[in-house]
Amino acid sequence: MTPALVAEIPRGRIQTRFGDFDIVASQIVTFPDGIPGFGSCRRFVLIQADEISPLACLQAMDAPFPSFLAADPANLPIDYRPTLPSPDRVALGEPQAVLWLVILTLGLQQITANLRAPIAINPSTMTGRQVLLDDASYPISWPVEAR
Amino acid sequence: MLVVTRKRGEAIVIGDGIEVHVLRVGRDGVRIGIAAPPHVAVHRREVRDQIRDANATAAAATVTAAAIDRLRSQIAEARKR
Repeated sequence: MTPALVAEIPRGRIQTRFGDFDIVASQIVTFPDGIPGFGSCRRFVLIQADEISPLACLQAMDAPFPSFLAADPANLPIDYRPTLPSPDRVALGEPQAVLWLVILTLGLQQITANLRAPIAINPSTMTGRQVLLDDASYPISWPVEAR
Repeated sequence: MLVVTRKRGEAIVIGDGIEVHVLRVGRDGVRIGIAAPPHVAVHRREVRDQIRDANATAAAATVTAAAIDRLRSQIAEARKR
C-alpha cells in the first residue's frame, strides 16, 4: 500500500481497506494535531465515493496509514447534533459550517459509531480534528445496527 | 515530573494563562478547577485514552465488502423508518 505517493500530486488513485479510489488533492484533510493514537498522521484523504455511499472513508497518508470507515451522522438513525467546543472551534479557524463524521467500528458482533469523539472538518480550509465531547452521555460505542 | 504540594485554595500556573486550582481535598479525591485560554483543550486523561483505544480498534477491524454492504443496507433501511 502506498498512500503517501499521492500526497504531492493533484490527482491519483489510493488504496484503502475499503477498496481503491480515484482522488484529487482537494479531498485531503489536514489534521494539525493528528488524532488520539495516531498523532503522527496529519493528512487524511476523505473519500465519499458512490461505492461506499452513504459511508465515507478517512485514509491516512502518513505512516502507519490507518484507515477509518466513517459516516455523516445525518445518515444514522439518531438525532445527533454535537456542538463544537471552543478549543476546537478556535483550532479549526472559527468555521462557518462544520462537516461532522463519526468513526465506525466493524466488530464481529456489531457495528458501532463513536459518538463521544466525532471528526469535525472545516470544509473551507479542509482542516480537521477529532473532537472529544464533554457530554459523557454520548457513547464511544453506539450500536449502529437496526435494533 | 514536577511534584508540588498544594493546599485547598492554592493554585499552579502553567505557561501563559493556564491555572490549576485546588478547590477541595477529600478522602477519595481532589476537586480541581482549571482555567485555560479558549484554544486549550482540557480533558480527563482516561477519556482521551478511551478514544485512543477506540481509534486503534476501529483502524484494526477487519472489513469485508459484505460487511460494508450490510451496513449500507441497514442504514438505508433505518432511514426509511
